Amino acid sequence: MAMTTQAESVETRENGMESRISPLSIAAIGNLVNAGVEVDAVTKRVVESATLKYGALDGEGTAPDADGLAWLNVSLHIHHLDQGLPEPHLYPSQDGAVGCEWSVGDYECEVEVDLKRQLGVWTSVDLTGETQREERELDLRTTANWNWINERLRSLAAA
Amino acid sequence: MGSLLLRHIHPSFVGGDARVSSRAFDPLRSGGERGRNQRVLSVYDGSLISAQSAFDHYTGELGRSSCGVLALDEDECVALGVAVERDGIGFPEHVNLNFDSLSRGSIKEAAKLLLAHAVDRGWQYGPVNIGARRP
Repeated sequence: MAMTTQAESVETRENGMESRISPLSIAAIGNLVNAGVEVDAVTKRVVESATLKYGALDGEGTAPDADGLAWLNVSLHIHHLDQGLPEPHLYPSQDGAVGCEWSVGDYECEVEVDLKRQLGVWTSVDLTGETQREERELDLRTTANWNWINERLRSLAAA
Repeated sequence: MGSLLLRHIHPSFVGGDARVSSRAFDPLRSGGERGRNQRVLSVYDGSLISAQSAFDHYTGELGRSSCGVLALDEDECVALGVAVERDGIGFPEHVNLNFDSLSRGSIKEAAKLLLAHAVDRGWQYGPVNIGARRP
């Protein structure tokens, strides 16, 4: 089974040491899933998104980039999951982007991820209408911006 | 209260836990039914057709994918600046939800608020085939 990928590695820092992790290709993960290996819900959803040939609509749109999905999967696992926050719900858009969505109290939050450029746009909307919509562009290649997402979700959950 | 407007939910926008994405109500990210970068969504006029008949028409006659039908009140759309246009183009029950007056950010916000209204109202038909996604 091919365990290498052209997907970009993900920078991480542990105990003050920087390292880079090369993600398994989505095809390799899909093979593991097909072989009966249990994967978490986020990884399962990423693999599902990779099966879309034409994006989110019937024969229209752009399929999510497989290497970009592999990068996103690893990034979520390194920087976001296991933070005591709700897990993101992942959905493809018609333009090949992937949205990570969270329902947090009265807030609907998301990061729209450009898989090829590894950039995201954060949006949070207060369903009660008491506070204004918040938007912010994020470079998702940096740990600091993932930390910002985590802190923002934590703050909204406590609001 | 205005009449209900029936919106088909594409399987891509429903997770395995049946949570629906606001993309289903965002014309810029769902592509609508008119292609990319169109600020309109197609819905059915619920005063003219039932949710089940709309589902049968959409998935049968039009050959499109849907895992069920959510509904909006016309007044909910108008309150967010979304124009309701009963044009009957293609079939008599066809209605356009026109987001032209909104910025991209406001469209994203409106989609989340519309979804919240629709989810509060509940599925009018379905959901069916959750998790069985069509590539």
